[in-house]
Amino acid sequence: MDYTQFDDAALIAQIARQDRNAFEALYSRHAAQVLGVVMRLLGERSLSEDVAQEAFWRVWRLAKQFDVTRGNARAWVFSIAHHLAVDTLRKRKDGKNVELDAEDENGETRDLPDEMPEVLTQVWDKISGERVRTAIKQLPEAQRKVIELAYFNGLTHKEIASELNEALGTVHTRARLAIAKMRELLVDMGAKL
Amino acid sequence: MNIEDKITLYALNALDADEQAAFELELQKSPQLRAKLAEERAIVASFAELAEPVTPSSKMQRQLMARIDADIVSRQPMPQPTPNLWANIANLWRSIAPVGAVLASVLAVVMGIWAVNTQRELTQLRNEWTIISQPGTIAANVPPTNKQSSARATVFVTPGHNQAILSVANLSAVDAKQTYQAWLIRDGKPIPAGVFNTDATGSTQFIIKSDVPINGKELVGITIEQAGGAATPNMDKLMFVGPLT
Repeated sequence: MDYTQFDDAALIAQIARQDRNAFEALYSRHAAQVLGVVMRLLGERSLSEDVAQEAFWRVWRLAKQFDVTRGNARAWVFSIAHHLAVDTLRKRKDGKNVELDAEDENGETRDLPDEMPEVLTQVWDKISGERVRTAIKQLPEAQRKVIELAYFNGLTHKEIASELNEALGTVHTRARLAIAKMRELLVDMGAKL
Repeated sequence: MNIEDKITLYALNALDADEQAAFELELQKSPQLRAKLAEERAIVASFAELAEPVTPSSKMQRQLMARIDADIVSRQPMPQPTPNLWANIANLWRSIAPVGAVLASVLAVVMGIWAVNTQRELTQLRNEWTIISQPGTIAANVPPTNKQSSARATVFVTPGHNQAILSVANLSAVDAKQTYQAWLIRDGKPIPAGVFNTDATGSTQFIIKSDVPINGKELVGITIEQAGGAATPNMDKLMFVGPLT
């Protein structure tokens, strides 16, 4: 079976049936970008690989909980990886031993399956990485800065306010407007939201 | 902070731990909130495109796929005993086949005695005979992690006993600084089960010893370690892993 023709949601549906080849296909498709995100947050290669590996392990374990008809598969994978990386970064900053949180006894983590309007899922799969990068660069600088500090520096909203010497409310507004602007740009790219 | 702010900040992983926990309680109660969060997360995921891709090492992939392989075999269903007499008889007949294979192996081993010149080897054969001649002995084929490999590993085990025989064939030779090491994986915890090396053909038989009776629910793994063995398995060099039954 040629899994390169499968979209992410179809691969995850196969992974839920313990299809090793489907998992390898999903890994091949996203591992480099996932590791790129994790390394932007953590810097250290060895630790980043541990975190990225754990993220894919959770994808494998939690695939059966993912609702392919309603979820954005790509967002789900990156959400798991980002959450793990931020969690690891904060433990390191707090001087705690960096141990990846164990799954609970049911194999579940905080990353529960998302509910996603189907139309966005369909549109999302058609948006290339390059177009997304272009859209993100169109965000106002102040908004992009808040996003960068949150997403790539793993700062909390309070830490961002302190870093930028801005009021908390200002940080909240910029974050919310950045997301709204991104959505608007995606609509301009053809998404029917 | 209004609910819209919370959704955005949660999607960005930018809430404090306490705020995050409190928001998760709200999420559990509200499908609408979860749907809204999913929309936000899809947008947030796009920020990943700003990161330069970094090619993972082959070690990362090997370790991950070894975990996947171990998970696949650990989820394979265990045979269930049935209380029905006729079913038991049928099971007995079915068990004859592997026992037959075991006995054939034993016969081959016994025939090999003619070629055995040392007392040590004779003792080894006696020990192997003791193990595999027990009623209820089963033969488990342990799959190689590299599906393309021609290497084979079979474990002869009698649940309830402290020893099992590991028989391997077609293994690659390791250098003098390395050794093969067997592991019993009980409740997810790998327990060293002895080191061994193969003959020129890549074959050997080796007795696995356990401190507690083997219950048949364990996994068996074989790794390559530094000579003398290791306390924890080198998952990078996991060559075989599979269930005992």
